[in-house]
Amino acid sequence: MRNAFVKELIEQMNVDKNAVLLTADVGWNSFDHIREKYPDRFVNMGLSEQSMAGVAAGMAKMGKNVFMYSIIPFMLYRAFEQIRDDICYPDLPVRLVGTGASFSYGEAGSTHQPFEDLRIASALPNMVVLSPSDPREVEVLFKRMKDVKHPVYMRLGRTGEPIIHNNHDNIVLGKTLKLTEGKDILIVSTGFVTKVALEVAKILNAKDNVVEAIEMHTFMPFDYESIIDAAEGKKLVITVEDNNGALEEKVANALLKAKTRSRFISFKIPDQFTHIAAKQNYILRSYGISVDNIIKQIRTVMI
Amino acid sequence: MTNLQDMYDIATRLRKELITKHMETGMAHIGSDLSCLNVLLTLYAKVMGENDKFILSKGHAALALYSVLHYVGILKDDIYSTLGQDGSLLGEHPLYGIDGLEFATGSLGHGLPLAAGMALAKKMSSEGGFIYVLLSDGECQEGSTLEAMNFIARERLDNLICAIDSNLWQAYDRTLFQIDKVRGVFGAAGWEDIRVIDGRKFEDIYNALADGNRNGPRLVISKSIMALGVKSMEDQLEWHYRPPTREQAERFIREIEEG
Repeated sequence: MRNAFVKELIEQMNVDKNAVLLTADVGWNSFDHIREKYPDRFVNMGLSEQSMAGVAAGMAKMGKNVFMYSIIPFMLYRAFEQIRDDICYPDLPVRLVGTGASFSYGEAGSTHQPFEDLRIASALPNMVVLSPSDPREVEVLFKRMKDVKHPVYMRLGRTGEPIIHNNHDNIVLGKTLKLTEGKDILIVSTGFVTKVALEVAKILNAKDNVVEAIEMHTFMPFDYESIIDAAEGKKLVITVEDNNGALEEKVANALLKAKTRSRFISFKIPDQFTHIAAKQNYILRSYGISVDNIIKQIRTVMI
Repeated sequence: MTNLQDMYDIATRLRKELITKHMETGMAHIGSDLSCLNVLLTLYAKVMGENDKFILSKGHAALALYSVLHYVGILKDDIYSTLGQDGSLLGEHPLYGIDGLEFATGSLGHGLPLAAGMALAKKMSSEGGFIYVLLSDGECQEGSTLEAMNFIARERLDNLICAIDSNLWQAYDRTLFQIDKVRGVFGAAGWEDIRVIDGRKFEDIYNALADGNRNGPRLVISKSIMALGVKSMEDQLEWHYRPPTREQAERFIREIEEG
């Protein structure tokens, strides 16, 4: 996902003389080309995330198209108040791009494991929150981002996420993406664990279309209506996320307004620090976010 | 040399106006307002031009800024008269979106990074003009201020002028950043053009802010005092919090008039 972002950013900087990249001492190797080609529009802020958010706001106020980049907890959590007061309140179109979503830096330890970022970013008025699931979605959402006149937070994985979308056409910023058709079960996902949700849907749909899988790559503004519509007639609704309940809460909220009463199971990160260093898949698996476990849980309920 | 004699009279008028406004609205921070009023007035009345911008990092001195913006005609009567009313766009700290107010400040430590971004953007676009920012001495303690001062020096943003209202108080203690420490810390960060001036003297303020010799960012430490200009209020922390009562306001105004 990170490589897709860098590729799109280079394209943007090639054509948009107002595009500026700020990084908080992060991006060695990834940004070397940009740094070399556009030394005047590449700024390494150094280890100064709070100041970076303020500088980004000041530049955006003066008409610059600012991308700020760092590892998620450092950028979004450390500089939260600057992001709130200086970027979101004035509704400036700064692009906050965070790498290392969820456990993609799992081996780096708990300080580098942001599994609460969706709720934190979503708490801010005016913030558009993008949670793409694969490099193709990063490309499409990045291109569409230029029409968004608000601050945008985009979260990226960095574990070589595979491409799971066959084409670009139906990925529309702000709209829920339907991945499979199905009549009994609704699976809602966001971020790179969409890959898991999609595999579950494909396996269960082998004989008959039972699972409708939909993906919220645009997490905010949250498209509640599409969940309400999709839940109609479903016996079971499932959420799959790499966060500690941000998606679960939003979907549950939508279901309260749906006509149909369905069973509800959520697969999420619990409200606790992992307290381990481990690869992403290991951690997700240990929390039950795996194809096998999700299918097992569905079978338990649907019998 | 610009004639600055009129500034003393205007400042006296605005001091009386501020005491009345604080008394009427019950708003806090009269001491901070009076402390930095001379700098704000000099900037808007004598120094800043069309391409310049200003950020009040010490947002708690908003009423002083409103009074100056009103005096120079940027803040119109219809908005200024709402001060203190429910639903007003004029907060005890600046809100966003009013002419003359670039950002919603009030949380300390935000102004210097914002000014840095604006100054850097100007340089990237080869735009003229300067970015002025006013900090309290207290907010030099904020990490984000320290981050930005290092960044500004490294980028040699010679279109940025940072003034510090050195009134020696922060909200609950004597400021940790007295003049020598401010000078030392900015100096260590790489600021070379550092001037310490008398915040009572408009000539000093003007000369430091308007001097066209530029080699990197400039720091202007304005030696002031809480509630500057009203002797019986000066240097007392309570005026960071309390609005004057009607009786006090009348007394303070008389004191100003009697010089």
